[in-house]
Amino acid sequence: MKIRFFAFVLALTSCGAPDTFAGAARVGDAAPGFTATDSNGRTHRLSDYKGKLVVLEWHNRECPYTRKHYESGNMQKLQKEWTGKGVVWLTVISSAPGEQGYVTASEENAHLEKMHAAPTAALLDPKGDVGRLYGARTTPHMFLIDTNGTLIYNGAIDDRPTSDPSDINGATNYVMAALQEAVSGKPVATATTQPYGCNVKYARGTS
Amino acid sequence: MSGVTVDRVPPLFGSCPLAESILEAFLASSSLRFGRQRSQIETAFVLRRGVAALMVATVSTPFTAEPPTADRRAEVRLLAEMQSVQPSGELWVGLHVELRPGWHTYWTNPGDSGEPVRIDWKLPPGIVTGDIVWPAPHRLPNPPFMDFGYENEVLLLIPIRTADLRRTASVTLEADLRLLVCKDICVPERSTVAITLPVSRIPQKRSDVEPLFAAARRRVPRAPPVSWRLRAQARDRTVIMTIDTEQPPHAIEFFPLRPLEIRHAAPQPVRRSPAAVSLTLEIDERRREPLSHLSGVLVIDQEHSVTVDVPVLAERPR
Repeated sequence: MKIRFFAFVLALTSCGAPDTFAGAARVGDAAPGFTATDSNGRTHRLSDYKGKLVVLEWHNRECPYTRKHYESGNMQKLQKEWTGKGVVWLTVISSAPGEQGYVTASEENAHLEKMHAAPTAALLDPKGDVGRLYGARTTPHMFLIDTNGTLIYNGAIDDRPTSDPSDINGATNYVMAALQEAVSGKPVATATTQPYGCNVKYARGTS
Repeated sequence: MSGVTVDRVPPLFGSCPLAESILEAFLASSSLRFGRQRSQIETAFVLRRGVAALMVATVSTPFTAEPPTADRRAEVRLLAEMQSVQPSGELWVGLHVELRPGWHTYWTNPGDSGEPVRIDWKLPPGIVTGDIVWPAPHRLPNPPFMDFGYENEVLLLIPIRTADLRRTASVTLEADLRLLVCKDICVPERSTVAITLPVSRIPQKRSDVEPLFAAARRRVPRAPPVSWRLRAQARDRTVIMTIDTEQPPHAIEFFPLRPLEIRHAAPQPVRRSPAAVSLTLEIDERRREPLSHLSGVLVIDQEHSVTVDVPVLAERPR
């Protein structure tokens, strides 16, 4: 009896942090459907965009890794180029209130203007629902959904997992590559990579 | 950076040749972060080509770091285990990181976010550095995710080899560091550390840092004991890792060496029996291919951890 109880306690204590599992957004599967509100109060559903390519970009304006891609203009360049080609680009902010990166709608609009950012919309996800649904781990964390609603890319923006803007030139941009392959009807060669950046600032102390 | 390979790592565990050869094998098989893989034999050392030149002795304190500012969350120093370098020989140095309470930095696999330290060495000719020998990591929960790294204090051991410094009076090892430290926010702290050492045939240990180096060595994962039989079996979207041994360890935690293999935040249920202990490890939810190899570190406690490098037996069709 004692041994079983001890083993039970051992099993519990060896578990580490409680499991508050996020959703599974696996390449090849249907991208999880979501509903979210943008910084202009407009509601977006993933299903609204069937027939279009959709990029999801997890974002925290103060994270050094996000800043790497914004202060260099790298992210904005991608946004402009691909929204210009009919891709829907959704920036998602899953920082909880009080956490770094949390913004009100008007703060986000001011920020978009200041950075000359050009997403289709900036989705405000302060409860972290969309973030958890997708398993968004970092800022930035990038997803590409094809015209059928299938997830075809999940991971890092590029292959230089640093916060140094000088690492942008010469990096392989996985998102750009995936977009190019998708528009030319090719399979995405590098479809899942480990994203890099600051952790997404979900509410602490809760799951 | 060109790679003339060096075939041996300087002794870490002194008088234990078995541990040495296993440590070498571990170093040779450890891989770098995604997208920057090097061949196995290049992993342990990278030799910088340079024309041998006389070094002018520089007067300096044994170790220097960026002056601390009120904002710094980590104090970093470069420490040498010995008082000097041999004209041709091996030496261990350590990057000593002291973190403010609540702040942490990362292991070679940082987990679901974060970044391990980046070291850009500036070395004179005749000096070769190897890869960091990482102490066993700790779990850094980040619900619903998990990172791996260190809080409070850690000494990252780095092997150094010298060659042909007979005509050199002293050498300065310098490194530009980028250390990501996080608490609720993340700050990439940059600093430069340097150490100047005389060249001498007779190596003598620095007594002031001896306890630090000894403690760091205890924290480095070793080869599994010979009395252990480690095996891994795939089952659905899990891998069951089992240690067959007469004295199964108590608490154990597995840390994967690479991301996208084992889900970092998943609990690892333990089952213990008189002659075995098993851990159930969940495959990362994003992974599509079966996992054929399990690589990482199994931690019993901070001073008792082992390297794991085993094939995963495929599930038999039912």
